[in-house]
Amino acid sequence: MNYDAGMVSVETEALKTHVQDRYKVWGVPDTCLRNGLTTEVDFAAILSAAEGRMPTMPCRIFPSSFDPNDAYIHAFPRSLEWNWQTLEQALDRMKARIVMTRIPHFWQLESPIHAVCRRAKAPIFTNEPENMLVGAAAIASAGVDAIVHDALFAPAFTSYLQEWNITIPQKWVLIHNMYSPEWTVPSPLEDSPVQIAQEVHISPGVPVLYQCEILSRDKASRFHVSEDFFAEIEGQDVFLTSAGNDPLPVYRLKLSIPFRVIGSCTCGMDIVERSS
Amino acid sequence: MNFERLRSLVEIATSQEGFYRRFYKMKDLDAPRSVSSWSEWRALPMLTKKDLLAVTLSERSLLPIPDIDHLFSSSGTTGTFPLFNPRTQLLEYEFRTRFYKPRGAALSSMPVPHQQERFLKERGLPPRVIVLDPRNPAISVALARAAGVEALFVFLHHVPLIAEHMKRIGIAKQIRYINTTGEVCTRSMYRYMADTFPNAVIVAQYGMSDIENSPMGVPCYPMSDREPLQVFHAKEDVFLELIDEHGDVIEPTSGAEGEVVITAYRGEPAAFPTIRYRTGDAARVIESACQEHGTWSFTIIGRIADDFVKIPGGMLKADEVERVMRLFPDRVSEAFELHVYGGKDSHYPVRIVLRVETRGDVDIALLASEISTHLRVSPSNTYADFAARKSVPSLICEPLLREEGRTGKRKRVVRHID
Repeated sequence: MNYDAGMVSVETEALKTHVQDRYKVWGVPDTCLRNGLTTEVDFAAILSAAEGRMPTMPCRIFPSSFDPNDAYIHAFPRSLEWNWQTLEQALDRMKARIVMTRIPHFWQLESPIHAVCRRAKAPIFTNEPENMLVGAAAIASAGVDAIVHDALFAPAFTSYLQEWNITIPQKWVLIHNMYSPEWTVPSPLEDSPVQIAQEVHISPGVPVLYQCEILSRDKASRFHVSEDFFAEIEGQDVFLTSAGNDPLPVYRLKLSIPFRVIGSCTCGMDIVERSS
Repeated sequence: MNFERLRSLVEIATSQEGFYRRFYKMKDLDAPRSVSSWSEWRALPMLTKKDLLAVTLSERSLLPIPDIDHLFSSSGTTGTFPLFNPRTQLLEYEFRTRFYKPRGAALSSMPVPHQQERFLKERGLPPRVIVLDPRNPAISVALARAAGVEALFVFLHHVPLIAEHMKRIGIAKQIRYINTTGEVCTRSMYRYMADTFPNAVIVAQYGMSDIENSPMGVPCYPMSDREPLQVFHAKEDVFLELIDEHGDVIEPTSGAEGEVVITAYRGEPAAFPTIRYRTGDAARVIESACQEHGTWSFTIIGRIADDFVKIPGGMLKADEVERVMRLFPDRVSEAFELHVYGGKDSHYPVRIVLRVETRGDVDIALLASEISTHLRVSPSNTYADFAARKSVPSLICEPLLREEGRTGKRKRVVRHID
């Protein structure tokens, strides 16, 4: 592997062979290897072609988009052993006691979050984002102190809590959609002594960017690249390649949202932020 | 659950400081409560939702918070404050294997996804459970198709949402098993399911968000043309009693009706075993000793508090409305909503509107009149008799619109205060 500005170059034959082998198993074309990159449209076509074999593949299934009405939305397979490590680290360091999830059901993340919560020794409570009454009641009467929240709905919920005079819980994990116009923290959380860990997912359950303890402290939109991916940053272009054991890996997926390296964190990882 | 098990449960629940010692008003030095006869058992106070709402989660749970697997609550859509129930990994769905041998994926809206996955995992299958998002059914069903769905574990009121999308993408016929929970299934709803999913065995379970080892009632047989449509018996770790309106225990002989009282305890670890919990569900006993399972079998006929309307000298029961609706299968389905409008100064309704799902061109005023003449409101009177005496307002029928996007349960009786 060649390291370039802290990001990894993925021009290795071994990685290409791995991707080729996996694509063969799924019966999907590997033209991206010949082209040297995968566009977002190419990847949607790969997922579409893979769907026929999905029922017999040992994998978990997630939607490939945050938008349920996206014309290109498909099933995205992940390993059965996939563990949402960054969430586990965040809940651990926050010492979460009872975790409430407020994310859409179609994200298919309840079981992976439950697995994380079991390891963190924190019971999970699942609340639909639209059902703010029950979410607020869970905070007020069931002792929920940590929330895993779709960042899109977080401003509405924090306003609701303020309106009903319910103390805002102290521990939040915000999930941003990579393709949202911005990755921001709702002002009631920004202005209070609340701990927040932010993650940016390319699709639900696929974290690409996360924050370590140090980055999460200042509540800014600065991140590390998830260990599940190799990220290559070439000027305005960002390419992602699966580094983990994804059953259907991505190979040099060209993102339409650019980000850049702005320095190093004291934890040793590069810091990236969204390019304007 | 036999008497020895019940005796042991009471002893365990009262052996440490906690909810049941306080509920039974025991003193600090009192020995654990011992129950040595059925009369002592029946002397134990019954638990209600109000009792549970009065204490915090930590005060109620017999387990420390880190040992609780998850919390579960009612949706809050009925307007009552939600009760948050601590649960362990006690849920089990062994009964399903009597009706189908799982081979593939399921689409589920039942609580909670990891428990549903466990059902598949325990049978050597990948934990392939797609969670239904009732607000986004199209993508949920599309993911289920990709997963190779063959079973539905769902709330009954979600079935039409799923069915329409599955029909659209041509996968309804690959469904082999449907396990419903939630509201009581009407015969027209059953027919709809059977027609839409012709290859599926359809069963219902009797569950409740307040009970840790829900479901408590498992199906005696799959739904079919047999009457009653849904018949249950208690799981081995559940003890059921039936009580009358005074709280006295009724013997579960065939035809007896009353409120279901549940004691549920599967063993340790338990976050909150329920002892003599009043469910508010009304049941009718089908067989006093079900041939296959030994215990009495029952069917749920509605909610004690919600499914009737008091009128001067009588009672208008939702169950009775449903019976009458079945007399007109060519004109209406069994789906209905009884809207009751109360006046500020009146204890009784001032307007009653029955919303019905009509079939074809129906004279709705004539239908209202005919329903009135069949609808029993007291042992010897019909609604029409009472209306003729001006004891009740005339029954009005209006069309019930099928709401495609409806995500909550349909209430049979809807009350409006002017």
